[in-house]
Amino acid sequence: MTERHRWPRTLGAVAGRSLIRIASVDVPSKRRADWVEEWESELWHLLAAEGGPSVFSFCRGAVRHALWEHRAAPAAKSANRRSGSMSALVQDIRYTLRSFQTAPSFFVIAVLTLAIGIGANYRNLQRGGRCIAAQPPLQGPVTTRRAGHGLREHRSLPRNDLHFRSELSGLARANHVVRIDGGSNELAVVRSLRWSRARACARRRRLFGAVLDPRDRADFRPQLWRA
Amino acid sequence: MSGRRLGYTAVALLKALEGGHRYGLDMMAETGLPSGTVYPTLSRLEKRGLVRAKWEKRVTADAEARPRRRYYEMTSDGKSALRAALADLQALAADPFGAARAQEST
Repeated sequence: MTERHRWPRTLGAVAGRSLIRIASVDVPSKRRADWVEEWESELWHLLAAEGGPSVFSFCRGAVRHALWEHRAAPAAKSANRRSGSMSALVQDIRYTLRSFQTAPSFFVIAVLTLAIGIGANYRNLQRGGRCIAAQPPLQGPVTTRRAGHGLREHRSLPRNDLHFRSELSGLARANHVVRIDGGSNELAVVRSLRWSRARACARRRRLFGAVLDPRDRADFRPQLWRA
Repeated sequence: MSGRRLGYTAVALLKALEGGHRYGLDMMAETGLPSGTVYPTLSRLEKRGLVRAKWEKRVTADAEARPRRRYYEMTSDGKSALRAALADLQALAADPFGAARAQEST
């Protein structure tokens, strides 16, 4: 049946309804439709009225109520148990809700830890991606030199493509000093000598960032020439 | 009706129902209890047969452009349970240790 009433387009309404829907996972399926309708109706009236509890504290009650319904109907729960991956997902969500209810501080810490971890990884990869996606600022033939050996003309590499970058990467891995002669007499060096693998990777990434990202090149060049 | 005694929350909600407050939000405002206490208690009372829930007619709610409400009302068992619980509470208030003394003497 179509609803005649309108929901307010506020963050509280959306968040409250979402929380109620999520919490309803714990309610036995026979009761769920009624349960959701009652809670949504009460939330609507709460939003329409002035004063009263906040939406969040009100909807926290929905989580508690759903848990109560879950515990009060163990027979119905076992009868309605589904099989397969959906069942595992539903169980996971229920477990999450229960843990949120029993230990909210732990829940908050866990969520914050995950958020910081994901954010830090995103930040790092974003920088790496920027280096890879950035156009190489230099062009011209690439000259390589094996450590302790003489200079050797490698070959002219096309600039601004992935092949260029993969060639540079391969040369750096083979402990070559790579010199790129720029079109306007610019020089940059990619160096990866006698580093442990992890260190070399880290340094190579940094150097590639310096080579490939024009913003960092100015800082990078004198340091390399000293080396 | 179950022989279990009613707790303070149940008594407060039954008393609010008796006073004409018929839905959860109204009972929250009347008793000052949070939603996480009111609704589970109402469900428990409903399960024990002390309270009966009934959906408002959809036509009525639609006419006022709002979602329909779930109204609660006390059953006859609920009324007698409330009377008994109030009598218990009054006796307890009058003589807090009377029950303990009676138990010791028997």
